[in-house]
Amino acid sequence: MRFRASTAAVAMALAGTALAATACGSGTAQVVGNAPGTHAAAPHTTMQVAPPTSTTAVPTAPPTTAPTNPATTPTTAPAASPVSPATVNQLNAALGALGQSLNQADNDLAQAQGDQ
Amino acid sequence: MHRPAPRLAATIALAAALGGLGGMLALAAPAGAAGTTATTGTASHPTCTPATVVAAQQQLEAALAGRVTVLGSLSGDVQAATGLAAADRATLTATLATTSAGIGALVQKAPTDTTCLALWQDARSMVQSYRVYAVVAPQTHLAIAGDTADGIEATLAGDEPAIQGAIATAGKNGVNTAAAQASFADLQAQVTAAQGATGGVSATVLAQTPASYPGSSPVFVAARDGVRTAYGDLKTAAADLQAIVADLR
Repeated sequence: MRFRASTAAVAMALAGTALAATACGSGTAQVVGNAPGTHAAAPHTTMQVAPPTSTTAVPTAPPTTAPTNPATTPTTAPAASPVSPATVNQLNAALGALGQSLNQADNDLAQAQGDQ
Repeated sequence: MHRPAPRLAATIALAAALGGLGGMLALAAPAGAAGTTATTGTASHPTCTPATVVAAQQQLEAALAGRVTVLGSLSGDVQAATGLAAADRATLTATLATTSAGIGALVQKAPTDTTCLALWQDARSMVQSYRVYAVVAPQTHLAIAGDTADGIEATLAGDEPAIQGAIATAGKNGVNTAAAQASFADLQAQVTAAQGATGGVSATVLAQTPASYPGSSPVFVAARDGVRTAYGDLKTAAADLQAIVADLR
């Protein structure tokens, strides 16, 4: 699962790179409606050139943010907490409620001895 | 008026059950059909006589009012109990509704009673037919407690794989997880122990009825003891979880 997700992420990044590459060669030209496969085969000879204002047919937007540098990504990130703070709070609240019910039961049993 | 021995014995037994009424009605079970007079079993117990009917009536009305208050409180507890299972909530709600209706009918009837016999019969019904203090109250709180404990146990047991995974991940990242692993092992043991202590508690206490009394009393005590044991186990498990979180931080 993780491999597939990573592959997909890489593929998306690569697609953006390809589109950027096709655009940079013609200056103002943009890619219109071509499958990614055709870009890779012959980006400058098989693609149509659209007016600069036509951007609706671009299949995927190129990445607008710089990709993270893999070298700076920590490989030994601290382990995430096994439970959320909300879960801990709920647990404590439930324990409090349990203690309260037990105290009430204690009172019930003590009172029942004197009055049925 | 002479009271046959068997009736006297039954009356004395009921006197013990009606201790909250100070014995005025408890020893007022008339042997005769008229029911307007009664003799005392002992001098220490007041009697219900035509001269004391009003006082006995007031005593009964106070006893009924006390039960009405308790039933209202119990209904509030059921409504507020977030850990109560839906089916058990429905069972308790029905029990409380039935009991409240019965006690409510007696509340309406008691002021109209004009004889010791009528008061005594209502007092007996209040106690024996509904057992608000001896059965309904502990039944309600113990079912809530049992279900709440069950819920905590399920939550912790459900979190165990994630906790174990987090410990394993931390270990792969070079974190010393010895303490966390020990805490996790204890957490598992505590949850298992708690599950054993509360298994079937709610069903058992909900199966008790006014007719179950006095046999219901040891059942409730055992249920309370089991849930209290589980409470300790779960508090320890919660502390284990806190320690694990701190160790992996």
